[in-house]
Amino acid sequence: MACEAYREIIDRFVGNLATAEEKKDLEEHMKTCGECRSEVEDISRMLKAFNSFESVDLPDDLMPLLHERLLKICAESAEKEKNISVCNLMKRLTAILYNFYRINSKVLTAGICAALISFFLGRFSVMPASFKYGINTAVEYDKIQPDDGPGSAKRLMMAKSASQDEKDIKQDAPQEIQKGKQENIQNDTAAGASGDTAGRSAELTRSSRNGMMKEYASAKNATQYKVQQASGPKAAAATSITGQDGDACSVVVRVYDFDKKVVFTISLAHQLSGDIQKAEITADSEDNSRTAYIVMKIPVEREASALEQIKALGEVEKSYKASQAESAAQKNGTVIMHINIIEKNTAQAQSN
Amino acid sequence: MQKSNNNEVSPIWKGGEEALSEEKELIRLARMGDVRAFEKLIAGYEKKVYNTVYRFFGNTEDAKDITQEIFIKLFTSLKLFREGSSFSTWLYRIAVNTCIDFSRRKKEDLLPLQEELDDCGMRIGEYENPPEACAEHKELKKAIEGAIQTLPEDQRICLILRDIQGFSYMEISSILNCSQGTIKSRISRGRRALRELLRKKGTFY
Repeated sequence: MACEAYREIIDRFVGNLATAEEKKDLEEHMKTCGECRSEVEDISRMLKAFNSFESVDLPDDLMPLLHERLLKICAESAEKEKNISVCNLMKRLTAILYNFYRINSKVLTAGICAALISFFLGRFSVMPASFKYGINTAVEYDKIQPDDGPGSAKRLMMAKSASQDEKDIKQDAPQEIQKGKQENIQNDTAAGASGDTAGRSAELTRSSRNGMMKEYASAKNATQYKVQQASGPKAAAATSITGQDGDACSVVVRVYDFDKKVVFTISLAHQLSGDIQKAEITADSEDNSRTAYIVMKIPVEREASALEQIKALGEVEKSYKASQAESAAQKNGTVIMHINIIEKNTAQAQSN
Repeated sequence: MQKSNNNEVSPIWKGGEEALSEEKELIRLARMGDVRAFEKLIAGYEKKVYNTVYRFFGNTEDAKDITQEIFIKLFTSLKLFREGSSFSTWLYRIAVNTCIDFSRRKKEDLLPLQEELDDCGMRIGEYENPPEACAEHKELKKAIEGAIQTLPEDQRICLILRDIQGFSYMEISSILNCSQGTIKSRISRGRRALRELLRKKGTFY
């Protein structure tokens, strides 16, 4: 074996870490190899010298010096900390805010989204009708209430009944509405009879304030019309005008050529890509005239042209159109038209 | 004697769990800037550190300065100490790295001077008379003390930690963060290089 190979064994041998076999092997080798023998001797002497190195004592001033330096470092770092404490405060605040956002990010995002959506909805006035009504009613009520004077109690009552009316519309209870309206009319007449003009003017301003009130007024007119007609021979026809839910549009026309006009109206619905929902003809035995009640559903954009053509049929007795924003049918892109075609009696016409 | 000093166990191994929890508490306090706690923490290490540094540089002046540097570094970087790892290993690692850094910087600054010193040392060795047994041992010690400084840093520190300070191969490998094989080969090369140096000086024939 070459001397190079004995190096590791020598290292272990001098450190007393060699196995008995290694020891024996090396001793055999050293008998013949002077170089390795002297290496072992030298290193052993070296290690012996190392072991005899005395431990040096610490210089007396070392630890006190160190202590002073450490204190100085502490003082410096404290100073530094004071300087950056404001900075740290800001950092901490930012961290707190960030953490708050991170923890509640979903809620915050949802909140911001909701705020944005409500903002844009408000902008483009596609707010739910009930929401709008609620606000208007409150405002209306506030405005009327503090008005003290003669007949204020009556006005208050009227306002209350009006708000009751509005609530009823909101709840889509047409019969209730009618009742309310009739009550209101009675109130109105009562107010008129007692000469309470102030009450009337209040009513008028209130009506002009918002669209809903306009509709209310129109609806009242229709009812008044009904009341007028109730005693007349066209009672049946008139009832059907106002009795329908979601009165989008209703027309009453008096015509001479009854059959032709009815057929034309029905075909009109198909022309305007709408459909007929109801069609009935009633005959009045008294004055020998017939009334056709047609309900058709047509697309919103065709409404105007349909109305025009129907009006052209004959003498328009009544044409009523609901406010667009409040029409439920409009949401679907369609409009419901109630058409009453009343036959003009030839004999009547002749007598006229 | 040095040997007895070598066998001295670090405070960590003295009291087991209790000492460990006490050490933990002292580290916590020292981190917050408690100098007294820090001094208590390093008590028992300072002598060994100082001796290692002294053997590495071979003079008390450097040993004093660098030992202070080591402990200051230890104090300021205590927040970087990872809990769960051995404090003594971490302490010696900082000590060794500081020594090596200083030695390299010093070498760069004093390169021509160092060569001069080497020449001088060799001449002294040459002209020394062959000493007697006891005197020879003293002479050898002196020669080794001088020669060890001329070894490359990595071999020098391994030799000091193993042969003078008596650390185990495993301890040295964790202090220097390298394999035991590397440590063994460094020690082997260091011993032979030292022998060569002493032969050149005439201490070994």
